[in-house]
Amino acid sequence: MKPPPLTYARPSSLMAALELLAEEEDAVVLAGGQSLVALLNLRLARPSVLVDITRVEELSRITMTTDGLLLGSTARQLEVEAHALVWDRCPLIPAALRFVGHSQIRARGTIGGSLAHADPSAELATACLALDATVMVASTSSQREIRATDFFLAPYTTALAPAEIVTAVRVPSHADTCAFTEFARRDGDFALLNVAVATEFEDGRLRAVGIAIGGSQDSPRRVPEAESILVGTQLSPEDITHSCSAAGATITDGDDPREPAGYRRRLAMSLLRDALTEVADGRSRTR
Amino acid sequence: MADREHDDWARPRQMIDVELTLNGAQVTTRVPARQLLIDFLRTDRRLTSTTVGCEHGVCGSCTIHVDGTAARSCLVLTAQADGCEIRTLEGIGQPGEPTPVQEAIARHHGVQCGFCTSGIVMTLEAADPSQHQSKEQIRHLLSGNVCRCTGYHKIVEAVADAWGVTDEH
Repeated sequence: MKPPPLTYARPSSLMAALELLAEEEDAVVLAGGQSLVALLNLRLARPSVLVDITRVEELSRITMTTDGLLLGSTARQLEVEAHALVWDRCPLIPAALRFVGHSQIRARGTIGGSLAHADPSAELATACLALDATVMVASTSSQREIRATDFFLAPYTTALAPAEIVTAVRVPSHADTCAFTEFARRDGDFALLNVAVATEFEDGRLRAVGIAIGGSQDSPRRVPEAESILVGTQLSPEDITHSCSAAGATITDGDDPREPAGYRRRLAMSLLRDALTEVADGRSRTR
Repeated sequence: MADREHDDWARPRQMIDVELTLNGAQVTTRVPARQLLIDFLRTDRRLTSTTVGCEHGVCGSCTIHVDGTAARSCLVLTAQADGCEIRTLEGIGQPGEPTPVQEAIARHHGVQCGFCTSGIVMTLEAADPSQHQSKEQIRHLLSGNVCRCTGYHKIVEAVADAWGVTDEH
């Protein structure tokens, strides 16, 4: 299958890109193309204009700011996965990225593209939620910041307004032990479920913890029920068990009869156990 | 709607000027905006080693190199490849002078129908052997390339041979 007739534009400035999007109702952003070109090939999308933003230089930068690590929206996933600054400041991001599709997909796919496409099983979304990241967006008339928890509304639906694009995601500097786990039927498949855990320890006890669960059924979300059990603890096996039970209790029925709630509940508890145990083991190794 | 789309093949809505490097040679061309890179390579340039499988990024048979990295040519518009360095299997080794990976796959009988072979070799040639020093890692590297014929066993053996990987499984 081939893409339907369309027009292609390649602006070199952010404002030119935003103006093109604002002008034409059926214009869409093209970045890595790993979701969009597939949709075009399957004729599931028929935009009139593709606005290729990958030549807008300022959108591709990876920089450290006082508020955290800034990942430009057109930064390629493979580049971020290998980036020394990202490993140093926020290792949960590369831990999540290595589960995204295959390396050939990550070679082209972008950070912002994954966030804006909002596939419910997107690893980056689950990680950004656990990290309490902030999505930076822009339009011709304004720039705003949207917390990750307010950004993913439903599968393939975000808080982006028409003609708004993701310019970057800001991730708090989070070098404390973290973990990302996922279950998919085959290497590189979309995840049935994925789990991200970001921790902050103080004097051997959990000062704060972010737990997020995503998967094919539902947009990723934080799991405060599982988090609150762990705050103040030393992450003992008993604490982990209680946290996993609380997480399991939040899994409700989905639409897919092949993935009944009971199965997904057990899967979520198992993945969270793996992730929390990995954190606990990682902590004891570094002591 | 159907008539408009049919017309677009003969009279594309928009043509795009593209300059790229293809297997080491500079190419200047003009292509329909919606043309996929895989079709530019196979139809415009007659470089038919790269095959078209699923056309939505899953099977890996269309894998080529974009700026030295393995990528899916079915998920790139030719227009997006402007300014890029593109390499296909025709640009890897030469008849009579195969690369170690090419030679090993041939010797180990890692090819049956050959449909996936181009994509598999391109994935392997873009990879760093030092990062794939176990058969498990080789299999993970190949997980983005579907092979329906071989069961991968001979391919993995060939790569292990070429890359000096000696573990059993």
